[in-house]
Amino acid sequence: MTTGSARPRRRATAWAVIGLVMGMLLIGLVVKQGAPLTRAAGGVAIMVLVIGVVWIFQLRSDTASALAGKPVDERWNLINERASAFAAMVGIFAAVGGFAVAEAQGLDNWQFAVMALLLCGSYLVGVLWYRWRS
Amino acid sequence: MQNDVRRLREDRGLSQGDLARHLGVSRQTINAIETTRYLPSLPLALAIGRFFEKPVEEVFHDDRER
Repeated sequence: MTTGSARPRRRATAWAVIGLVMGMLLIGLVVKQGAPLTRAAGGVAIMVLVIGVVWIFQLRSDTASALAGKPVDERWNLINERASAFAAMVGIFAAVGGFAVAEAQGLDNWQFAVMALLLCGSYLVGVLWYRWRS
Repeated sequence: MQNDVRRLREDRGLSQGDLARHLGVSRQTINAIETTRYLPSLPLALAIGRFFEKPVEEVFHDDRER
């Protein structure tokens, strides 16, 4: 983690609340499927820990601030965009690769197909949108 | 793309943190600019030029022009 931004910062909280609500929903869904509560909570604990660490350190760390969705300056904006693009590219490869592997093994693969369609489609929409807007 | 940010900053006896505070960016961004790992946006390059009271092309210059 790094420090040193000159810009006054304000703590971003909405993303943490959304993450925690999603975690609670996830626990509810897993318990509804019949899994014990402790197991469900254990799965969400890591997510809660990460949210907590980022929320606490976001005012002191440029990295945590970027992870909280508030890049401290233009360089961090660029880092954020590159990291997002990298994650999306990994997602596309995972979805397309998962689809191919499941297809080869004769397994149900519609989830991978939907995910690949969504990711690739949103990329195309993004290209068209930003070409129009820039 | 090379730049004279480090020399200009040191000539004025400023730390990277001081310059960062003046420009409203992080100290790491100043370091990345000085070591040419990051090319600043045009607004930030202009702000750096204004801060040092020099035209931006005197602060930043293409390798081929040197």
